Order: sequence, then C-alpha cells, then structure tokens
Amino acid sequence: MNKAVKHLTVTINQQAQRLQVAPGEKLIDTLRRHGYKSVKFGCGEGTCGSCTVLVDGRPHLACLTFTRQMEGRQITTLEGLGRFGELHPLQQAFLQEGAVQCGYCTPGMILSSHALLARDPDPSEEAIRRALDGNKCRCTGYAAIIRAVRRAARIQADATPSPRARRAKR
Amino acid sequence: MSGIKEFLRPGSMAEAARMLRASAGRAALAGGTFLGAHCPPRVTGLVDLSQVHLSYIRGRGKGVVLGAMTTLAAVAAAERCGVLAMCARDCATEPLRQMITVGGNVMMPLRWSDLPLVLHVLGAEYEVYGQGGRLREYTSDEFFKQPPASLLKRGELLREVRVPMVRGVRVARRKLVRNYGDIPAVQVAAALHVSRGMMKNVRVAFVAQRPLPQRLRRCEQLVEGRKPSDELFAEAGDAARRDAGTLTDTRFSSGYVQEILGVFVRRVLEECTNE
Repeated sequence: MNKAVKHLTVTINQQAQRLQVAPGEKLIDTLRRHGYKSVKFGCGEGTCGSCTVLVDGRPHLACLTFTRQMEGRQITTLEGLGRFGELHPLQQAFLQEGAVQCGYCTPGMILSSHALLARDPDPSEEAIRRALDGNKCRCTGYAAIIRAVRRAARIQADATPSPRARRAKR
Repeated sequence: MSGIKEFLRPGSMAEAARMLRASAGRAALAGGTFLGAHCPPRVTGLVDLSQVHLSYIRGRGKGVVLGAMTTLAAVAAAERCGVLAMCARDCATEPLRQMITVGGNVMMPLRWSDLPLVLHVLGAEYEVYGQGGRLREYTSDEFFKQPPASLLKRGELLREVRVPMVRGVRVARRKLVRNYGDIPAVQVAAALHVSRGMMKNVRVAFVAQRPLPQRLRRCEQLVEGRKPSDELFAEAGDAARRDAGTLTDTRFSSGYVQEILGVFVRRVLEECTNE
C-alpha cells in the first residue's frame, strides 16, 4: 500500500466508517468510490452545487473538499435521507411539485433544503432562495423547486405533533 | 491526478508553522475553496489548519476579533459582527459561506472576493504569527498594498483579523455584475460615521481587475467632515473616476466600468447617509 494512503474515520449517513484515502483525494471521489452515487460532479470549482453534501448538518461542496479534512466529521448524502418506498418529505415534495427534470442538481437541492428546514422549519420564499443560491438548475427552473421546499415544510409540520397534541398523548 | 503527497493536521500554531517551514512544497489549507479547485502544481503537501483553534469571534469594544479560520457563515450568523455580518450574508453562496474562512479570503484575495473590500473600508488590522512565534500587525493599507501572501515568510501564518468598529459605523457596497454569482467588473464599498449631520472617518475603496482593494483617497478627502448632499456625492463620484484611472474588463468597455465606478461611489455614499 502507498505509504501516503491513510485510514480516515468518518460517519457517513449515521454509519461510522474507516476509509483508505490518498492525501489529495477529493470527498466527491471518495464518496462515489464507496457507492454514494447521488453526489454528482458538475463544475469542479464550487459554482454549481451538484456535489453538495451535508457536513455536520451544513451544506458543503464535495468537489472542493479534501477527504482528509473530514476526519471525525458527520457526512450526509442523499442516500441517508430516504429509501425506496419510504421517501423523505423533501423527496415526496419534489416529486409532487414536478421539481425534477433531468435530476442532476436534485440531490444537492434536497440536501441544501434539508439543512434549511433543520434550522428554519417554516422558511419564507426569500429564505429558500438564499439557502439554494449555491445550487444551480439548468432545466426545471426554480419556481417548482421553491414550491417543493414549501410543501416539504408543510409535510414535516403536519407530521410533527403540536405541543398540545404531544401533551394529550402523554 | 493530484500531486498532493502528504496531508498534515497540526494541533497548534507552532506545530503548523514548523510543518510549513520544513518543506517549500507544503501549503496552508484553510477552507479549501481555492486549493480545492486550483491547487498549484508546486504544492505537494497540505497543512490543514482546522485543528489549530483559530475559529472564534470575540467582541472588542465596538469591534470584533475574528480568528483566521472563522467561516463566513459564522460571521454572517454572529449578531456581534454587526455590519460585517450583514456583508457576510451577501458573500458567495450558502455552501461556500460554510467553507470560506476569513483568513483564506484575505490572504488570497480574488477579484470576486467580497470580504477584503469590506474589511478594508472598515479599517481592519491583521495579526501574523511570525518566526519564533512573534506576533506582528499590519494595518489594512499595509496589508493590501501588495498580495498579502508576499508579506509572510515560509512558516508564518495569519492568526486573526481585528475590526475596530462594527457598530455605529455605516457600510454600503455595490458591484457591477451581469447576473447573480457573476465575477464583478468593479466593486465599490464605503464606510463612515454620521456625527451631528457631518460625515466622519470616511473610507471608500474599490476592486476592479486588480484583486487588491484600493482606497479612493481624493474622494474620501472631499466628503470628510462635510454634510451629505447630492452635489457633493456627484463630485465624489467624479473624483473617484479620476482616482481609479482606466479600468479594463473583457465584458464591458473601460469607459463604462469607469463611469459605473463613479455612479457606485455616489450610491454607496447616499446609502451610508440615508436615515
């Protein structure tokens, strides 16, 4: 084994992993090599957002990140959000609103939206636009995507019992 | 194929400095948005500064002290950063704000960087961790007189940026772009205080084809200590155009960029003085 290749401990989609990583390897290459194919290569210079993943819950561009920077961090890719037959509210909403055309930007869009809804469960349109300002879509357009994020916020709010309902359940 | 042969993670400034001194091929890695996209072939090793404890925001009087590894997102979210937080919210894009660090942004200013210009008009000071751990400071004028990286010898690092005032000071900025996220042909920013109806401590600067922010001193002198008025701002715009000289850009004619610079100077001064 190349001496420079080292083991790295990271958590990917809530599973602790020990990965062999070369010093200059980018996070996008590591993730795709390990089967996380939702992480897409686009511009390679941090402009398009196709490679967005969440690092400790915050959007991060995997094409600019050296994998070794991720030692001990929590990474979330789209594979960590939903499953076949059990979609995440954001995935449901993107489908229902027709917010997907070619789908290349969608993983990044959904992860950026996920980070937004985690800190602001009822975002304004302006907040959604700002949160998605680093994710470019070149076919669907943004109107349906913004509607989808608002719909997902409603789905999540409906699924979360109100404090009163929680008290009644107890 | 990456030419990076080693990736080091020091736990202190002293260790980072030692690692950087040991080989000319090693480069300090802050947020990684520059090295991640355009790593020069001479770089064969990366010294990751994320464990060096330089991510902090501390209040100091009416100002703040920012550790070099503080991200733009952290600045944007920190109420104590005042006007600087407002500017940071408009810098780059959400995922980039999570990655770009204050230190990386000022050490490697690019013509589309937002922060160096804002820090320049706010009169920031820069503290460098020098040889043998000795600290030295630069004013913003000294720091951006040349590419800041050329101020540092091998193994020296930017430690923190001190912004003397982020409250009570008014800041405005404008940039000439064709669309959101475009590389600006020219950026202009101004900072000033209004005291008894007079403009005080006026600093106006711009960035165009040269990525280093430059003060527009004739324009500053013209408005310093005077009452805001449309005539004065128009005069300041003319002075700024003369100060800046010829500005070139592949997308716009130089005459247009120069004209817009004058218009932006007028507008940022108006915005700073609007009640």
